[in-house]
Amino acid sequence: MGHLPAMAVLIPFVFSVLLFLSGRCRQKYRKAIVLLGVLLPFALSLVMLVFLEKAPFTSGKSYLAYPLTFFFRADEFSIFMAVLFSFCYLLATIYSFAYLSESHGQRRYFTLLLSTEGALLGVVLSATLTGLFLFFELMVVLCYLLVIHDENNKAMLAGAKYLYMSIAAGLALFYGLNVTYYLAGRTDFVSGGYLYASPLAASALFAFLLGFAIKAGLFPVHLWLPEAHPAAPAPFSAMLSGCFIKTGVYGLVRVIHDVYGVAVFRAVALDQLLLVLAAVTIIFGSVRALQQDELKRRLAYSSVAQIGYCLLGIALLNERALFAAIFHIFAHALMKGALFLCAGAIVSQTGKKYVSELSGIGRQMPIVMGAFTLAAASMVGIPPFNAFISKWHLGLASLEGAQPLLVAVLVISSLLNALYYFPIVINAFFAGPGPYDQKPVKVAVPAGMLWTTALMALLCLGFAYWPAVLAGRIAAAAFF
Amino acid sequence: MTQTLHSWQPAAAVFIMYGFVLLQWLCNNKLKDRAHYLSVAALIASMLPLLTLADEVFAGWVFVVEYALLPPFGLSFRLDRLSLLMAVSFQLLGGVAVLCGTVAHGGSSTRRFQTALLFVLASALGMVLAGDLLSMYLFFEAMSLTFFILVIYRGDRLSAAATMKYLYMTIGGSVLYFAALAAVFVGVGSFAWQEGGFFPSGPFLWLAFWGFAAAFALKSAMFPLHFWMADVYANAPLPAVLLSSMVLLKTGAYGMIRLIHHVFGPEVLGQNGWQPALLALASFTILYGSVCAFAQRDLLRRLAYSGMAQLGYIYLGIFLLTPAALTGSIYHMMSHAVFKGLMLLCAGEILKQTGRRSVEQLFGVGRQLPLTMICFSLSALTVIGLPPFNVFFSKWYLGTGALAAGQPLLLVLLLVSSMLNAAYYLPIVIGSFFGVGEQPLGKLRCESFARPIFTVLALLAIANFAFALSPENWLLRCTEAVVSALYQGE
Repeated sequence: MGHLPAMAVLIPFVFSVLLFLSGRCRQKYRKAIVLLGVLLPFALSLVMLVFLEKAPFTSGKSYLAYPLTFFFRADEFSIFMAVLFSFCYLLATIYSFAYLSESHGQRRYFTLLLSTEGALLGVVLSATLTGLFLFFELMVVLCYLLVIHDENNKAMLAGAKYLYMSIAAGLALFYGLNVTYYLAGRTDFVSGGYLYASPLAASALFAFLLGFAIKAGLFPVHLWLPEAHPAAPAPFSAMLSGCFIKTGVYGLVRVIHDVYGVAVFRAVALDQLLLVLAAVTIIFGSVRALQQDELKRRLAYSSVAQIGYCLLGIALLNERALFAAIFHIFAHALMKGALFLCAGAIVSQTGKKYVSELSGIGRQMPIVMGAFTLAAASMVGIPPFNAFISKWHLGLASLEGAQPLLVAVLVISSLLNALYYFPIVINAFFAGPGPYDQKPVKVAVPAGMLWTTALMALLCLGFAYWPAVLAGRIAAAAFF
Repeated sequence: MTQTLHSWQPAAAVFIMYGFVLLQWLCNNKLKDRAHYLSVAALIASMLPLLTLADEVFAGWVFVVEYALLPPFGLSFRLDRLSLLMAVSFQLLGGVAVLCGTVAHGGSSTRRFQTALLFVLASALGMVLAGDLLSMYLFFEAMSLTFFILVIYRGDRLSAAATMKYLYMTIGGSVLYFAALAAVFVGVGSFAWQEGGFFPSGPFLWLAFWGFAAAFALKSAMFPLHFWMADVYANAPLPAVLLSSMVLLKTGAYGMIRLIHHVFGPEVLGQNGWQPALLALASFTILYGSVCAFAQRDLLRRLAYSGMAQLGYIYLGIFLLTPAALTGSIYHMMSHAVFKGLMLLCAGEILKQTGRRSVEQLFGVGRQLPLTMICFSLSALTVIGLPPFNVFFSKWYLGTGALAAGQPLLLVLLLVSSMLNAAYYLPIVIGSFFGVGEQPLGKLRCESFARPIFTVLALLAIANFAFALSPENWLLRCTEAVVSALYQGE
């Protein structure tokens, strides 16, 4: 069982190489390669989830020489992330078959999609910060190539912003990693951490915070996010928002809880900084989202706001808040994934990119807009939906942490969410060109796009028991 | 402790090289296209006697030999871990320049060019195997002065101007070296390397140290003695540039290590308060080189200034005076030689195939020369210090060394410099492949190379990451062994 994490990471890379070499094969064989490449990691993650009580799955050997030594280890948190990510990837890949059927560079796209999954799983399944860093850098370079897939000016500009900011993030992580190794002589994850507070440790923690915040899209360093998300192909936007920015959150949790320890983080007062920035991010992202007319940009700013929830949950440094943060990773991955897939379906089938053009679209594409409605309702945090749970617990945790102002932030943000999502839904179904009773022309959506979008949206609705239990266990383990 | 043995091999390696230089001069016209086999044979033949001693050297032995050739001081050779590592890497990297030299140039002066190239390599080998300051001076001068024959090869006005600049500065450097040599002679009366230094104090200490330091800094284009470099890069033929970047720059750094560890002793820098000044110079070299590189539009000039910044890393590692930093420094000499050699080869290939050398003209060039640009991209990713590539290790060790020396800001400086590297290399890489409009990818065809060039390109490209991906990074282990020998003598 110890090989499972390593296999889950390796398989997508192997299949991406296979796909790259299969230039002359027939379309359906190539499709089969891609499908296997995303199915197998998901299956492996599921196996790990089923045999959770045997966790952590630790790979017996370590790879590469010092200072790049790393090995794989899947504990509950890693498995949680791996299952979530590989599931999202599975849906996004199936969606991509239809979405990209007429695009250029399909082999490039799918090769990169598979290898980014490998890198992503590498980030969450590595047992040391070194391995996390290694896969993180790999992920940056590969993701860049997907962001610029369209190769128009807008994509190139957005890609450049993404690339340079991510490289800066990587260098910040390098600083943190180097200092961590210098101070402790190790970089593995141990629950509770193993470092002491010192000025150097504070600088390293700040560097980690900076690096992961860039990746996650925290307020002053979020600049790449609203550019890169709209520029990328829609299924990959869904992955960027649902999975890749979550690696920043994941890394921060690991650094705070498993390397430095909560006490050090609190001692150097970075939790206050993160708290303030997260609150600002929540409000800022929502306000900016309200101003956007381009649908994908609106969704991107909404991601900025939502990542603020996750970081707020981390910054509060109590068990309930961490539970909310981890659960929100799950909830947001599904709902934002669904929203981006909807946006992609609309753009690819009707060419409409702007919110102002979407009047009446709900009657032309009822299933897609139905999915959109579900996901949007979840975004706002209405009770039977997943995001309600994270917001509820985040609110409670703020009160427990004696920060009642944060409850106000959460409430305002939910209100803003409603303000920028519901008009889209209402206009889509109840307004629109032509008289209301006239039968609208239905827009056909390929089945592959349709059911993946619908499935993702349906899962936003009350599919919360197991993830919540798991998130609770992870949070409890982090705080003993 | 190290044990010393007498052995003829280090001297033999140098003399074999000079013998082949003579052979090359005599036979070049007859061999015609096959002349480079002779040079390659020279490199292999001179490496063999050194490699036979490798096990003993890494077991802790030092081999010395002395000939009474230059009375009253004698000509001495010494093979220890540092000189072994440098000598073998010079021979391997010199091979790149030799192979490239045969392909890039035909015509009547091939004989002169190839002979001079081999002579410079032989002298560089002599310099790293020399056992004392005076013998080193001999080879150092032979190497530096002969190099001008390569620079002026094209014979046009620009290359003549670059040559003059180089020559005058070199002569200035050798005068300083000579003055410092005199100061050492007056102070101590002997020149041979000793662990921990043999000239820790004396009336002319400052003259001796700064004289040598200036000569070596000039050789490796450290600020403010870098003026010759960009002109030479822009105007000399490619093999000469390769030689300069992969071998000659490194001889300066090698000299500096010897100087600090085997002539003055590392404490001297701290006791006299010179370390902060030297660190500041190295840091400034890094920033200045990067900023200048950013400003250059000519690809070769950009590479020249970037090389200057990289030399700054190497010097930073030397001046930090911690074992980890020195490991990073020596490792960076190797990694820089590999990625910069690869970049220069690619730049030469681009120039040859498309005639373009300005950075703006390189848009879309990756579609015409995919293999070349993939190699260039690999190097660009290497220089940023992304994990599986060599420079990551240099930076890691330099960073650890900076932290051990209590200078975390220098680590930040390294990272800022990496960011600058990214800023001036990545646009070239990106622009050459992506965003150049709708072109069907199906029609891509790989360019054809001359066979030696292809071999060298492939080897260098693989060397960028192969050491890191092997289960045990033996180049790093060798470097660590070298450094442990240097720091054990104290």
